[in-house]
Amino acid sequence: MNKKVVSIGFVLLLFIISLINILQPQRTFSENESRRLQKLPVVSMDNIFSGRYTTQFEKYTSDQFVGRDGWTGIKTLAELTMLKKDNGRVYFGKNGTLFDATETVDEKQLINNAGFVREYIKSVRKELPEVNESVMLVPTASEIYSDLLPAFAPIPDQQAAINKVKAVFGDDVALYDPTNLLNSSKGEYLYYRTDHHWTTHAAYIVYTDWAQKNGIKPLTQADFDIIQLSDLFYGTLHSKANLYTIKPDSVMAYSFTDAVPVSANYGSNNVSNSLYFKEYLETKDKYSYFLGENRPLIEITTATKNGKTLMFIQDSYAHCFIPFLTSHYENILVLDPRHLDTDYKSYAVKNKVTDILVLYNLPNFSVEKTLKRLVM
Amino acid sequence: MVFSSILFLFYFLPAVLLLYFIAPKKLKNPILLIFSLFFYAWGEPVYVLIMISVIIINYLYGLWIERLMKKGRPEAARFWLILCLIINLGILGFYKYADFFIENLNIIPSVSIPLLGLSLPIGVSFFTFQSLSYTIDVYRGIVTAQPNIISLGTYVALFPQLIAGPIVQYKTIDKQLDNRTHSFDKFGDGVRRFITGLGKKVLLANTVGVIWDKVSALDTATLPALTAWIGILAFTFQIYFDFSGYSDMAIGLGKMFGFEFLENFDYPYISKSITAFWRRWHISLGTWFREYVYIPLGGNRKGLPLQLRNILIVWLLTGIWHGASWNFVVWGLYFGILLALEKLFLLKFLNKAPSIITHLYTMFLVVISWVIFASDNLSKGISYLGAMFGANGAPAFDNSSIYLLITNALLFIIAAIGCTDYPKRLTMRVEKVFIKKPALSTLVGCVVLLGISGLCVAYLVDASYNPFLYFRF
Repeated sequence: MNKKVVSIGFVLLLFIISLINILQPQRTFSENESRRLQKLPVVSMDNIFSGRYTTQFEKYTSDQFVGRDGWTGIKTLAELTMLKKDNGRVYFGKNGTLFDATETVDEKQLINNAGFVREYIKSVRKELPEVNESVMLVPTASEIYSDLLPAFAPIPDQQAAINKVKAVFGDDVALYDPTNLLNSSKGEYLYYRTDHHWTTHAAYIVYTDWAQKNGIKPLTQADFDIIQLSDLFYGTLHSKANLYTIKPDSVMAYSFTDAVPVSANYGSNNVSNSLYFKEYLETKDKYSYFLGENRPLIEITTATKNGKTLMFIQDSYAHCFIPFLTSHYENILVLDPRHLDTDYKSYAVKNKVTDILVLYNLPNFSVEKTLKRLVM
Repeated sequence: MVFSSILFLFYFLPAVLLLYFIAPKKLKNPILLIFSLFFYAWGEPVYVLIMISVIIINYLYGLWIERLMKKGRPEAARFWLILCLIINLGILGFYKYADFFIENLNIIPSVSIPLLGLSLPIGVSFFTFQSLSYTIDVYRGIVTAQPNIISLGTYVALFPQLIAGPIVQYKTIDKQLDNRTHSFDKFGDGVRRFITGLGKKVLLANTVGVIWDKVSALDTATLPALTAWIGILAFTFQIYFDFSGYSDMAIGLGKMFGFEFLENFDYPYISKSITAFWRRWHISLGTWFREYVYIPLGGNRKGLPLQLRNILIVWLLTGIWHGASWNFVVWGLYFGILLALEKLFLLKFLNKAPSIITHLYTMFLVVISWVIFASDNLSKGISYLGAMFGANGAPAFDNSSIYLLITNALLFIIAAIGCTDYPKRLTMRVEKVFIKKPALSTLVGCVVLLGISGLCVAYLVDASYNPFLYFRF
């Protein structure tokens, strides 16, 4: 082997890549990772002596590496070639399905959270004795599509977790468990392959059943047009693997043929008459089309003048579920304890809520640390 | 700063290569020294002063001791040598072992000394041993004292082997400091060596390391045996590829700058006895201890009982050199005793036994030794060993064990092959085939090297990849 070629090739490659890294314009934000990227740190005595400069500089060298996201895709390909079933962040399931490999159920926090919800409902019931409550814990794809997981892949037992919550709730709080319903509809497109959320269709199926069980006549398929908003949805799980060859998801919207006019206040003087955010369809995060990003509080007033006010305590799983309820409630209040630190009881009483719906995906409910805000 | 980082590969290395090769001969060492000090200071902005002090102290002592020897005053020279030893070992002892010493003193009921909480200067175990090899060999007259402090400084601080060895004895590169040659041949060899080492570290060591990280965090009381074995096998691979990969990179970088270092690893996992293992693992450490502790103590020249004593002393020191903790002492003594047993009678049996037995014997004992080595403390190590043999009452395997096995099977097979010399023999055979077609040989070689480098970059970039999904929940 010609050592001269190797030597010169090595040095040239090293220099060319280094120059490209240094000369190319710096990226500020990574859409895939949804975080800010480290830029060249400022040289200052304070920065250097505290050790911050070296840490930031090292972060800068990898954050600004040319073709960053592409390199991660190469690693994923290498792992697949090695017949690895996960890359530490996601499982590579069958039929091009990705599953979150970091999902866990924190048993202690789960019991605590169930306790916080129960205490909250009871405290509200003291002031509003007629209030109807429902807690919906939605299992994620690894529970329903477990047959698509790699063999023996360790995943948390979500059904057992839901049963533990049921035990804590006893007769005080009504728990709605959609697991069996989702299981029996397995053949349908219930979860995105590349994102950790459930599909609008799954939300619709669950809505139909939940509505019937809660004394509401659900809208039927005749009341909707199902339109495809996008067939190029690469979601959160895709971000964790950046795999080139994966098939994207389709995002469907259930468009009401007889839409109920709404007025939604998203906070910070952002008022709109739509629950949908078209601009997200142009970005990677298409799921945010439904009700936008996670906000502390969204107050929705509908044209359904029946005096019923529904209060949601939720995570983003509720976002594609909420639009189905606009013809059943006059007001829908959407609260996210992760972002809203307030007196939840007073809020419920002040707004004379008639119904409370706590909606979370189960693993998230089990690790969520902000639910104690309900009772503080 | 570590070699396996974007920072080193695409910022530091191009800079030092550029300045080194455009500089005239008499500026080459100063440039290496400055870059080496910068390399060290990057991770240790304050402790770089210790490094500089060690250079100055040994420089002055070296000259002084040689002067005394020349004047025919060996006792005075010896006095100053011992003083120098005390200072060097004192630095090492203080920063590395002070808290260990204090912790053990505190076991005495009436004693309660607060810990110093000093952080360990990176590489202090390596550069103090290197400096000692210089001063001791000056005293012995094996080398002449280095009159140029820059050259000595370059030797002590040389960034290729500063952080993780190999421990280069001064006499190995004495002449090379001021008289080394540079050639495309050497540089190309260095590049090959460096990329091989980088691949071992990033593609093999780091990936199996993830398995060990996961398993070692589990509770040993409920750990199934299969998982425990998979975990320690992962560590066995990790430590070899990490350490030997780093040595490869050090030797490769040395070659690029014209230095020839000695080998540090020689396929230790194909050894047929513990004696052979320690002639193939971390060779530079064994050599150093033999040269500066075992032989001065008399080695094997003063009868069997003293030889056994010397073996145990050397292994006690070898163990504690690896870390300030009792599990390392036990680890060292474990091997000391095994080596003594082999020397006494086991080797006779091993030489007559079939290969498969000797291979299994060696690897079994080595894997067990890693459990002791890798455990934070002795009791954790013992319960891990228990888990490996089902002493904790846990089932032999569970779904997690099977999953670990399946998802890592191919990786383990590749790692195992990587521990043998098959890849090297394959490379040599392929080169022989292409001997009449150098262009094709170069092409294939470059493609392979590019492939390894490309994968390394992918893995390094991915390691910093941090999808932050908070907003999406």
